[in-house]
Amino acid sequence: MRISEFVVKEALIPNLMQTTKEGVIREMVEALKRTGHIKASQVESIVKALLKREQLGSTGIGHGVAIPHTKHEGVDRLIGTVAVSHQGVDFQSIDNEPVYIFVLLISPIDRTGEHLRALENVTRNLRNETFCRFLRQATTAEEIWELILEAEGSA
Amino acid sequence: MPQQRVVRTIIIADQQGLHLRQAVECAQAAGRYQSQIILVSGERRAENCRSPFEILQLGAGYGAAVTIEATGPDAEQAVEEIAAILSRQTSH
Repeated sequence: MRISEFVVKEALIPNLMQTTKEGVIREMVEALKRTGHIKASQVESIVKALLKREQLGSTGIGHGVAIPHTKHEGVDRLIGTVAVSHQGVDFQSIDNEPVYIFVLLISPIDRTGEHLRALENVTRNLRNETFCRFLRQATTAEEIWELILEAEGSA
Repeated sequence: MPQQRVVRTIIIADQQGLHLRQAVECAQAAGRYQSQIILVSGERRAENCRSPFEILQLGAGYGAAVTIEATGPDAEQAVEEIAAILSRQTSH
């Protein structure tokens, strides 16, 4: 499953305002609410679920990348967004380094296979240092989107 | 310590498949051993088991077979710990 198939282009965040784990997660969920992909009434529940998952172990998997994710009944297909922090966020990552690139995923409860394929695809692209470096330099949502398409070879 | 090569195949028992949390636990465990550890599932290989990015490339779903290959002075213990992580059923 390609990143461009589940990432909501209009919800990309090229310059995160928030600097804490909860703040970043909330800012990303709010972006998906603004685009109409999440109901306003579901925001709190989704943020809570994402934070609960973080309590089990940080989704900051090193190299400046974190993939906060959860399953939730509030979505009927896998959706996500990408955000960039230019100053870096302490996300208690496994390498203790700040996180600059966030990919947030929300899956329907029963779509395990889809979720795994999304994780596989996201990590395949994000292990590419050049892709990450360009993402971190992006200053507009359009630039992030172009980089994703380019990485997927569909630009 | 003598070099050992230990190979064991486990079946992913978690209905979520080999998910991010297990990949992170695996990578962290692998980092505690001197042995080189490789994971193989079908035609896919994670040559560096210390990287969750690599482990997630296996795309190992529920019921998939994953072979753990460790080479080094502590291969037996490494395989033991990683097999335990990958065989576990978790939920989140």
